Amino acid sequence: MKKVFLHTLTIRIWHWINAVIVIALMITGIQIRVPGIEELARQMAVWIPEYSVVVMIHKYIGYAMALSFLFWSVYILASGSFRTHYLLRPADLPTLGKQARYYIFGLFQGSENPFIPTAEGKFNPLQKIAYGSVMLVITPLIVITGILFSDIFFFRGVIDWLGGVRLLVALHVVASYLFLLNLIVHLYMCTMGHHIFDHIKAMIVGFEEMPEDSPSKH
Amino acid sequence: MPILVIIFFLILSSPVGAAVLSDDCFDCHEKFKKRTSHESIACTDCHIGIKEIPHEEKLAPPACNACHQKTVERYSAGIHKSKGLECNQCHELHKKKKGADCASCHPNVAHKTLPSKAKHLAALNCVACHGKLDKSGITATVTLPRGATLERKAVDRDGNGFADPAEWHAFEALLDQKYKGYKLEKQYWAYGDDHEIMPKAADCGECHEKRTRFASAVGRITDATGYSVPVTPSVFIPEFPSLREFPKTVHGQKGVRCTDCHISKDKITDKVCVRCHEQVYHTYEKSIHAKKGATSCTDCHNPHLINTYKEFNAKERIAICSRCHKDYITRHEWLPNTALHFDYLECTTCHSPGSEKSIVFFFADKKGNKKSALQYEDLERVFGKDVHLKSVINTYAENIVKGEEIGRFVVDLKKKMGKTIFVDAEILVTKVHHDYSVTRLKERNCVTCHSPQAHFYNSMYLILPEKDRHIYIPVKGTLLSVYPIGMALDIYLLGEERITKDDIYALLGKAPEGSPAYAKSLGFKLIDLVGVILVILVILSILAHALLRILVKR
Repeated sequence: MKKVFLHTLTIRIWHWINAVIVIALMITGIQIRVPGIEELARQMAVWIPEYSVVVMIHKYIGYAMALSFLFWSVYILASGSFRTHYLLRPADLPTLGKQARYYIFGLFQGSENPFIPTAEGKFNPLQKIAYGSVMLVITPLIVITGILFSDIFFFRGVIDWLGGVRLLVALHVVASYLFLLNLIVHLYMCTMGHHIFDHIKAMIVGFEEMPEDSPSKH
Repeated sequence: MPILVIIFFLILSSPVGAAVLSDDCFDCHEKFKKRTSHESIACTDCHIGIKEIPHEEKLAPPACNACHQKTVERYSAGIHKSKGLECNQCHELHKKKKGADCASCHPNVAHKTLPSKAKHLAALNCVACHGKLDKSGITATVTLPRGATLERKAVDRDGNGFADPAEWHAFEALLDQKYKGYKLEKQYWAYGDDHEIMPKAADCGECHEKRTRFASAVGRITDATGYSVPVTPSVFIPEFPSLREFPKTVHGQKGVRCTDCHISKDKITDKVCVRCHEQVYHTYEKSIHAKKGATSCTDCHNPHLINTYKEFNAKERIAICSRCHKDYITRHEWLPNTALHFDYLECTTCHSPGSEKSIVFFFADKKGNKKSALQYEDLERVFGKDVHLKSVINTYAENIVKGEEIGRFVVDLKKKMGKTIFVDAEILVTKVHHDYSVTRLKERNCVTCHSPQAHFYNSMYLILPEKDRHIYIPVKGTLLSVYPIGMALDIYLLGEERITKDDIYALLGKAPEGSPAYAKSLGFKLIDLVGVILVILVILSILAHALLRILVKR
């Protein structure tokens, strides 16, 4: 067995804090979007916080999300991890199809995963695209639109320039749906390690144990 | 021969069936022989229709108009004629005597509704208010102490030929200081024809505002030389500025006159209002607000205001309540974004549960952080004079306007008036219920409004400024989110959008060629529809993938 070091302590701590933030934002976000849930909860005698409280929680956790994102951006740029792990290189392109075929067919036919994560490159090209779009497009969009919402009087000028509150809401919500879709896939894909919990364990302890001869199914 | 000619002419000029001599009349009506009035004219000049004697028993009324044509005409326009009174009821036609004066029929008129009754009655004759005037004016005669003189400049300081209020007041102050013992006598003279008495007395505004009566005033200084200076009449008859606007008010337009409400010089009480507004008053009377707070109608309502409540925006409505409830912002600190809420709501949106609330849309202009609703004059400049905006927006002239129509109109308006034009909205009361008993609302529930079920979505109006008023046109639909971008871009209530099962079933149930059109009609609701469908599809794919993994044990 060999130990492959994948996640630094900083990233691991950030990941779990960010996970809590995202979950909280998702739950509160759904209640804000669908106010009827309050009535439903009352009928089912389940306690849920009041709308105003939820709006407030969403706002403050949103600030936490903005800070978390800022921290992550600075960290991956400063540590060089952006270049190492996220940047999609020309060499990645030919393996894209191969990787997709593996997930759809190869996995069930007993083929080996064409990609082996290492400290020098922990994401396969599909992951680079998925994480890249989440962290570089979707999250910034949610964070920026969210900040604009935090005080629509203060940001009136920007909001008007963007095209109005309703368009801002649309952007925020569309980005949130895309985030949710990615999250669902992310949660499923983290069970794709050598053992079902390997990837999750790696995000806790930092490394993954892999047999010398058998690469991960990653 | 000459005799024959004379006889011929005598025959020709003889009153054959025409003239009855007065002397013949006196044979029977002897007492009129000594008449002291109309003595120089013949009986038949007035009593027309007598062709022979004895005459018919019933004669036409005397033809006063044959000589007094103008007077009869004016009399015919007056109230007395319409009440059936004839000339002889005031005038003794055969005696030289002045006609009856007003007081002989109307002694001690109470003038109950006349404010400052004593002042008015002392200064004015009956015609001044009740008659059509030929001439009227005010003469203020200043009699200086014996031997004193005053230059014209003391009255008309700037030498422009008349004394304005400031000059006259300065003049009076000078008299008080230096001319002790002077006399100032004001004479309000009015000449009209007593025959033409109006059905209703002149309204207050005729003297106190429009000045159709007593339009001129003159100050007459009687010193050694004696001279007159024209004076601004408002010096002697105070102006009531509220009267200027009164004809434009709802009360004014419906023909309510000053004295209909000002029945005494005392402050107007609810008893006056209740005469017309009975139902509303009885609703209000029972409410806690009436018992503990504003106890009379005029505490909140200004009957001299031009605008009806429908013309007020949220801020102006709040201004009425906040005259007493000054601390409304601090009392609502529990409300998130308090200031934002008070920009779009009025107090009674929550505090009058019986009222009907609506979302009202209106066209506004944004300059920096300042928003202002477009007025009729602004739109008239673009669409031409006397434009009827409703027909511009709503080409089919139905009494309902569609979101698309408003959207199209605002796009057009932006082209004509600049990009800062937009559709703004507020949530206002559109049908008032006067029970304001609900205070300290226990239910501080955001979802009452922040939900697609909020009742104001069922009643949406477009407010259009027309000449002198605003009109409310119902807007089709019950959801803002389905309105086109042009209209609803800047109007958003948290929690308003919803996707229902019905929407999903309807979309899936449509034939393939019908579904894009249906999807488009969902507007911004489509985001949730597509989002939820995608989430379901991804979960299903993952489940299938996981199931396969379990089956092949990978």
